Amino acid sequence: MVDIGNEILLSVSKPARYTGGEINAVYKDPKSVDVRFAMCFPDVYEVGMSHLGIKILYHKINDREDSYCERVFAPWPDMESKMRENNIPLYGLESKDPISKFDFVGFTLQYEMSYTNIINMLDLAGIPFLSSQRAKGPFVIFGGPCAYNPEPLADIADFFVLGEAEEVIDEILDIYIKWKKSRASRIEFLEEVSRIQGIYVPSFYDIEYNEDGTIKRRVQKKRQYPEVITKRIIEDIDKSYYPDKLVVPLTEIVHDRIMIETFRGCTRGCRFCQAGMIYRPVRERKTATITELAEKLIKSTGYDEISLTSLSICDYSDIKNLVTTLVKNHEEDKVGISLPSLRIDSFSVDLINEIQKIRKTGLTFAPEAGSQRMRDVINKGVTEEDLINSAKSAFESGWSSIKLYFMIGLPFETFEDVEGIAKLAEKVVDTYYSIPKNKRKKGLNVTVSTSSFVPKPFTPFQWEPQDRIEVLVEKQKFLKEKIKSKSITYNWHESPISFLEAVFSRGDRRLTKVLIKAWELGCKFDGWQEYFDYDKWMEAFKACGVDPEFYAYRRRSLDEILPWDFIDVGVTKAYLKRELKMAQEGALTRDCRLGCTGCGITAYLKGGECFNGANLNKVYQE
Amino acid sequence: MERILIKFTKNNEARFISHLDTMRTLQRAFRRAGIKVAYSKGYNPHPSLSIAAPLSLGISSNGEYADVELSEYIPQEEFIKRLNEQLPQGIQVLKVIYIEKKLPPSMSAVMGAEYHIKLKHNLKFEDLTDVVNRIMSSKEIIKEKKTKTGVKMVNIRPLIRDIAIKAWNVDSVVFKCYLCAGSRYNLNPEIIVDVLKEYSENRIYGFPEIVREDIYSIEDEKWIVLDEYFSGK
Repeated sequence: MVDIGNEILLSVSKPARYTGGEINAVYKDPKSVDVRFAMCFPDVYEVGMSHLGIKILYHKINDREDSYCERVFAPWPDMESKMRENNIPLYGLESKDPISKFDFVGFTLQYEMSYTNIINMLDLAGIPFLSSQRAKGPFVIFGGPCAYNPEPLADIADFFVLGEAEEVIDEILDIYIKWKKSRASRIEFLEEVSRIQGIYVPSFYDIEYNEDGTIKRRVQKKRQYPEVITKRIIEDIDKSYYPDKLVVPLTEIVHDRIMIETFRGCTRGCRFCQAGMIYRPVRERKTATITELAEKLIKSTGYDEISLTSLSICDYSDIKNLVTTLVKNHEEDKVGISLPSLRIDSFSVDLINEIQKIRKTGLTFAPEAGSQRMRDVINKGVTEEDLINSAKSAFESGWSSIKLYFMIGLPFETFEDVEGIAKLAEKVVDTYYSIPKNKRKKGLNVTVSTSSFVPKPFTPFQWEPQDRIEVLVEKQKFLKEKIKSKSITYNWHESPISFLEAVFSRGDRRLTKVLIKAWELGCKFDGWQEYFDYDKWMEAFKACGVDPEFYAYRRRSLDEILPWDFIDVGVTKAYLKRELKMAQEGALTRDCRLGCTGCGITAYLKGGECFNGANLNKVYQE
Repeated sequence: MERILIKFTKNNEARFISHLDTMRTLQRAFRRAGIKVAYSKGYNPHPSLSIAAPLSLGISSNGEYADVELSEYIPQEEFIKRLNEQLPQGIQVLKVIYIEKKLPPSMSAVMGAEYHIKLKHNLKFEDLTDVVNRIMSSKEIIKEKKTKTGVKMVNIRPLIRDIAIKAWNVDSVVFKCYLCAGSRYNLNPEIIVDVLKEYSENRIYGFPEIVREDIYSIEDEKWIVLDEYFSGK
């Protein structure tokens, strides 16, 4: 057990990040368990504690008597330097034991720009970075959405878990306990787990490259190693594990509320969206299950807000009933309901009006692109009319401030499309003024935010180049000039970070050394503007002889072997190619609720179909 | 509606919970305990709960107070039992007082606080006593005070009611300090730490362990602990 000492804790910002002791945190006697698991989130406490996935897995693992799962977050740089000064290794929040003594050190990969924090955390823990250097000590494993392109971390990971982990985690732990008792070699354990669906052991494969730097082929080191790694899905979400308690922090976190996952997957088919592809098929948790969970979670956490999470909440087949039931059940107790991921339609505004009964919220819409042409390219399926009508009913219902999210740098985008963002925002302003003064609230504020598009694996745009930083900056400037109204505020994300995201999201194994080099040069918390250092990154690429533009700016040919091609997410490459072609033509693909669009995912479900658990009568009504 | 005053501790790691987070932690504990707190009216209703005197991060306490409005009556013992089951380690309710009279919030009754400050030293007992005596007999102790507009020089001596040596051994000493607290005059105990170090020319030194033992109000010109002040009212 490490001794942190009050003097250190009082010299750093937000010491409650490092003390543990939260409500519903699980404490066990380490001697009574076979497995100690460090659930690591490579960002600061407030961010990591807001993530639902690790909360689910934390309780899931701790429900096993033979295992003890603890939480580990990246210490903020002030704490990190104190830890280094005082030789305090990275520890589990519950036991305060160094994680280098644990059996598993598992990281969730939510964001490419947290990769240097992984290196930093391993270093703080005293765990060698490369799997080849770890003859003993914990197995370092990764999961989460970014694991769908595992290759940039290939030399670090012992293995990756691809897909939904609620079931596979038990299989891994069972095998591990047997292996640990058998005292067999590390490689024997890896070979054993590699037989499980969804487990990828990168050291079992060699990559050969062509002269132009593209991949020639992947070679299994032994014939028994699987050629294709298939993601894991939970067939029945409604019956799958969901904790009835959540750790309630003692210091404010980013999403400080109960989160209940309503369904997984999305049927809209937006072409830029990786989540929309990798989380297929759509599977719902039943309204009764959700309301029952809400009841239990309010009691066990004491939170006064529930967030209904999903990729697109209005697509929940029984949404109206769910929201009215929750409001009815909890109105008196002042428990608010929040609905992130609202779509743009008047139905959303009605829903919001319903939840306003308890607490007022902000209103955010994401048209994603400014012109209709561009929205068709990305298959957003939202029209200007939809947005204006929603804005109108929002203004009439008493809102005067609206946020609009867009992307710039989308494939096939022209400056005219960028100007469309300004025009659309101006139309929202006009809509406000078209409402009689006595019927609208004073103080109009339209916030336009743009992020720079990052092409992602397993999307129709996986072959597309990212816009060069200079072009993105020019587009931001251009848009700023085109926005005339004083009621519009324009925010944009910095492009150099998006460039690096693009490099790592579609990178290959040759990036591991760049990552380590960048960390050596001092890079960490790269997702945080105040810590991101573009020049250091460029120095790291140069030192390693790796050209980042190869990954970010290059248009791949459709027959190139992509680094993630060996992973089967259910959505086929043929479908993605077809969608890319449709995007080029600006042609729409319908929502699969209106009929199957043949993405390939149905091949997964043993005799089942999409929309497992959903109220089918309501699914197909548009 | 029932107005109560609760007295609670904030010890061990709970001392690292900030003022705002302490309020949130209490609110959630109430909800988990199934004790209904009244809500304010208005655009964004919030639970009616306020802490009598904020405590700096890192200072422990055996006497924190909060005003709460409940929408139901719960007998004291049951209240304490139910709430304590739901509070994080280090925070425990010691007492609950139902207040029937219409009185201003406890916040405005706060006049002083008792702190126990533990420090290292390499002095003899007589020298320690001498340090305390010199502080207490001085007319003026000028300290910098940061205000919204800049730094101001303030005489803090009138804000020190008393300092005494509570416990002593060869290398550590505990000072018992009665300082002004509240919205009008407030003296942060960390300033006393500086003063002690300064007056002893750093023969009193090290990282302080500070405990707020209790909070006081004034009645008939006498200091009276806050729970007694509100008892039976």
